Amino acid sequence: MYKIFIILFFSSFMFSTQAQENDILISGNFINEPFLNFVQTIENSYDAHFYFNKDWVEDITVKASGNKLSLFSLLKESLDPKDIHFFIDKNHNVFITNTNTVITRLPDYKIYRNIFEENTDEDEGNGLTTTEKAYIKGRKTRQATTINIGNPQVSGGKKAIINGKIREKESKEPLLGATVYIEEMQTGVASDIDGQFNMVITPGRYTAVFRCLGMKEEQYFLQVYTNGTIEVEMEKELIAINEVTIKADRYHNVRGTQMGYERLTIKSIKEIPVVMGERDLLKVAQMLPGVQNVGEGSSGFNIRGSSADQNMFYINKVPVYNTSHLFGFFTSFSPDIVNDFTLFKSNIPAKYGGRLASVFDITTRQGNKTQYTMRGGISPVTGHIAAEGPLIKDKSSFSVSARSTYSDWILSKLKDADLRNSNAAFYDLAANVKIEPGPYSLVKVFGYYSHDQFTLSSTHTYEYSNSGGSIIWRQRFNPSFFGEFVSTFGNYNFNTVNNVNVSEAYSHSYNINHYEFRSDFTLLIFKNQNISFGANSIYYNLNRGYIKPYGLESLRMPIDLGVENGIEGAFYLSDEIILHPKLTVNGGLRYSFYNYLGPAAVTGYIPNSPLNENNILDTLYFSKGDLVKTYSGPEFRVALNYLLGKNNSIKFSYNRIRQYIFMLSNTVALSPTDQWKLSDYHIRPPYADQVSAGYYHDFPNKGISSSVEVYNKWIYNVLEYKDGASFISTESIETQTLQGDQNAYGVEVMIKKNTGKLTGWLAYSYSKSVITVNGPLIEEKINFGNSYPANYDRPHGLNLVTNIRSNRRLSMSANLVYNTGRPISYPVSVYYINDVEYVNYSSRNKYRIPDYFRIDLSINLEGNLKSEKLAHSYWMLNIYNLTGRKNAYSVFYQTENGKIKGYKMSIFGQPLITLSWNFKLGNYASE
Amino acid sequence: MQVNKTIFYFIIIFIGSGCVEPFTPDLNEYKELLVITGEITSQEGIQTVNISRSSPLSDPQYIPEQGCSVEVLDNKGNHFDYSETDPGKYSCYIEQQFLSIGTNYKIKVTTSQGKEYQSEYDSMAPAAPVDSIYYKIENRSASPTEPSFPGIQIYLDLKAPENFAKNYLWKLEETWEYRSKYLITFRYEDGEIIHYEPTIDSLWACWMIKDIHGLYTESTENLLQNQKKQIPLNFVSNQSPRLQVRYSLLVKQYSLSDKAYEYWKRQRIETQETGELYDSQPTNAKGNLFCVNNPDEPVLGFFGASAIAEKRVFFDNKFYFQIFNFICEIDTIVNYNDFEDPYYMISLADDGFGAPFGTAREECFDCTKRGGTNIMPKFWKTRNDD
Repeated sequence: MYKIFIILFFSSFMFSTQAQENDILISGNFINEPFLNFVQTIENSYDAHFYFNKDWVEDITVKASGNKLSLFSLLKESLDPKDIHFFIDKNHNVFITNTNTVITRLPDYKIYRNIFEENTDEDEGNGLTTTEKAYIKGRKTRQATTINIGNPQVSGGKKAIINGKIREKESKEPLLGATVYIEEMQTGVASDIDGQFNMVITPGRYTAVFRCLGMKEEQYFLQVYTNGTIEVEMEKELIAINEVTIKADRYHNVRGTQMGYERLTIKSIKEIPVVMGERDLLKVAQMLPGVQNVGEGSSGFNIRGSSADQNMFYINKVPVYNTSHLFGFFTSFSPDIVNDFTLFKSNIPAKYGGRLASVFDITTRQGNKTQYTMRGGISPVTGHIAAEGPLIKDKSSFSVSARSTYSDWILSKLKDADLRNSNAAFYDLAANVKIEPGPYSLVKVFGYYSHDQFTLSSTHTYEYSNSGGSIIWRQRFNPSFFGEFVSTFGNYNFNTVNNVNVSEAYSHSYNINHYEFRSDFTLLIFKNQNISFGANSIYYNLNRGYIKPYGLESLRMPIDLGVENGIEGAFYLSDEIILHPKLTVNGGLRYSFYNYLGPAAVTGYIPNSPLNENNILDTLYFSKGDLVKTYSGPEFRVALNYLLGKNNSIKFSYNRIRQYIFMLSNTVALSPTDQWKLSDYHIRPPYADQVSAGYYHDFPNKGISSSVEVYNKWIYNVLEYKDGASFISTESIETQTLQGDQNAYGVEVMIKKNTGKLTGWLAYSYSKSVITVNGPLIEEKINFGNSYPANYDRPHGLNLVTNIRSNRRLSMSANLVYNTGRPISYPVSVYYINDVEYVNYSSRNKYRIPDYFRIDLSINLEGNLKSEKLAHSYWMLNIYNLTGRKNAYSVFYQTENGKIKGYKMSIFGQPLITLSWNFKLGNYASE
Repeated sequence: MQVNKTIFYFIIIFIGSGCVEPFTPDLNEYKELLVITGEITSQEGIQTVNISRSSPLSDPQYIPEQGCSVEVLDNKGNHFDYSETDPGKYSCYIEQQFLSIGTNYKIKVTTSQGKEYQSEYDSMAPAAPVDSIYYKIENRSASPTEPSFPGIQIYLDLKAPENFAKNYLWKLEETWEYRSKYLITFRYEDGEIIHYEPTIDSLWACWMIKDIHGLYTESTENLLQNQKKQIPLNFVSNQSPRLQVRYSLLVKQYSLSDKAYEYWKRQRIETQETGELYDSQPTNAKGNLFCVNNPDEPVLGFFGASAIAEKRVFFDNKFYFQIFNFICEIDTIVNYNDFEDPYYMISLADDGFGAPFGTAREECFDCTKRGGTNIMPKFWKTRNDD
């Protein structure tokens, strides 16, 4: 090591004078002259020698004409946009270096001494003097150099816009969620999905720290002159993965205006114990505060006391209407292709709308731009594989994934005849292509398909699939104005056959199409402001389907449940303003509107009477394209952040959101035959107001971040179902539903530790959700008009997620989950009819099933750590429900021989042990 | 939405660990409510209504409501006064002329405390004749915690003309013939061995009659024709002697009004179709009774009007599966005084006559000791009668 530093020392000494002093003045007329020709001309005419690699300058041209041109300025002009560095020494040698800047100045000891004072010197005791050590330290940091941004010739500007891009050095993949922290300003920004970030800054000299999960921290000086670009590449860091995480999160936690915001990457959850050995982001999401579901193995989320249909799921902007495989045991996204998800559950940014409770924004891997790679794995139930690589090296990439189950094979081995005659199969496919046509634009194309099919002892058949595609085009129009255009399509459909009774047997097909176009713009023209605006429109086309007789003997009455069309649109404008170094405000206005379109036949009912078939007055007919009903309204979004100190802040937010589509579901858990339905002539769209306030505190030395948030949410026009409602018996859904108000409130506490051998989080949430359906008529009341707990009201939730890493190859994780049992109506008295016992139930949801408690363990064993190897694999041993507690999924009553009996049903009544194996090409650290 | 229980079992097998176990929540809430149940049928004879009070879940019991004055009214101006024949049981003989299809009936009850309860009018719809009744051999379990056993699942086909009721409820009464394990050949009485002729004596064959406590109700509301095949009735497993010789089922088909069907359907869902993966929250069946003095007071039960059609079927033991056998252990008699006098005996000798003798529980010889009667019911047909 010592030798290297000595060489470095001498070589840098050679370059130790200021570059500009060695400038050459040239004359000439270069009109889009290829760089190579330009070099030849200069070398021939002047005493100058160029050293470079031809590949770097291939498509660079030089444009200049006149006398006494500065070669330095000319080169800077031509090479800077390509991020190519150069240096002219006193002998007029021109060294062109690609990404690495040539170090031309001796280090400044004073600045760096502080930064490194905590580090121990690796070379201690090898006989260096203190001065020499200090010098070497200085040399090290000199590797982080000054980056000049903009044109040095122009000075005195008030503000400069920096467009930056952060990439992973090896694969050139953009880094999402990397942060740029400007020490002098105590502010920072984070990079987006394409690794891009923007900031407006006063010209000057800054110290910028780049941090990203799993990457080495990079520090640069930014010499900002005018608007400009910067591209930073970060190297992977193997040891201190978690140490960086916390720093990335710190920005969000304390400094961002966003509340109720969670982001998880598939990498960060790799070791968390899972059911059936499938890594599943959405299952881990349930460990976050305020996120619950009604029961084990059931699909759907209840976020902050909202029903499951109030969440929007986007995967690469493709809307997904059913996110589950196999009744909800798995999520319909392959772990190989999912990269991360972002969850907004408090103040949802103005660009999003249409769902009252949350937005899950899932993104996939972008594909390796430099080399081909593969990954995959097997678990007891599924096998999955994915591949990715460049299409054109460094310009475009692809990734594809496939997953399938071999459960059919398992079922065919069973003894029970009913089960042997059953089958279950699911698979999902995804493909992603990313193209960078030029430095200022980016195009991503994504396609997705998932399919589920199960037959149960020939009485029930279910089949459902999601498909969708998106085209995302990002464009930087100028340094302060960017746009994103998204065109997306999603389809969900199911087919079901019910053959329980031959006379009643029916089949039903349901289909919903979602076509969406959206454009989002970001404008950075004012200092300390980030303006975004845009518009989106969705066209819904859904066919609730036909109930058709199934089989020759069926006498089922065919029912056409109807076709629906609707258009939802919205405009928004939002601005994030730093009013004061301590106070940031994010204000937004979204205006959404919705049209229910013809053709439609709308039933008119006698005024002031319950909506049912006995009170039909007339039918209104609308032809194709007619506006049957229009709903619209503004949605205000306000969030503010006040920094109390360096590491703590308080935040407040208010939100209004409208939702124009909902799900028909009167079961406690989501079932595979639940239909999505549009708001229509009779059913008003629900809307919600939410206020949140929170306190955020980080303890950077301990690597702990913490937050407390309180919220209250009022939902109006929430849909509830009449007792015994059926959604396949009539097109007129208004005869089966009632609308009421919901009040949800709670507290969420999160303590997260991201550094050290022990990492994880502790989340506690208290959440109440109460519904009141109290219409003017007796038929329009539920529970006599009194409020009652929602089916998913589970006040106390405690989640502990821990991971202990004993070394790089071995880690252990444990989860602890506690939840209040969900509400239920219990029988409170017994009576007799013809000697048979019947029960009378309590008021709606008055009681609760037993509380839920579970502990999971997992052990993760990585393959060897050799850097030169073809493939790397790891084993994962999962023990789900370690204590074997028989957690109640439901409590129910049945009459047997005239006697009523109570039962408790559990899904996982004993520890479930699974072993899964995953592999990837490359070594331990390969992406 | 109701989904076949198979889904659940399917998941259990699939993940290998689900389970159902008995569970009793700790509840203190209890509200005593009045229960009025009964119907007026199209058959001339004694019509009954039961009035009782609900009891706590922890201590279920039948609490009759005595001393009520009960009358049934029709929409033609007739009224029938009921009198209390047993505690809480009120009866009245009504002649055929007052029992006609299309008539609406309602009940009026005044309790001994002077509170008045009434039902809404319920219309008597015509009951179609009972169509075919048959069985299929299936495996079923009696409760979610028990294993399944082979047996016969009895089905009924409904084939009603269009102008007949669309909703029905079936009440079932089963009768089965069973045999003692041993034919009595000897009896030890007062120190003497009495020899019986080895003929079928009157304690060998018995009949048992029982009401089936199940709720069977169906409708053709969603169907194009007033017909429905394979309506499941009761399941008779091989775990009782019911199928040993000959099994008979009396099916009484009651017509129901739409309102009554809604009530019974809800009761069926809440007591028989629970425990599915996709249950909805339980709700109380809404009856047609109300308290005149206090409309907010819930009243349980239903008072309906039904026409009745009947059919009896017989099924012989021609089943391939094994049928539960009444367990009898033979004790070899060493000393006649070891057993309580008198008792039955069989010969254990090779020729079937003489010592050594063996004996067993009395139920093994005397079928009436197992609860049935040895008098052949009048409706009984032997195999030869078919």
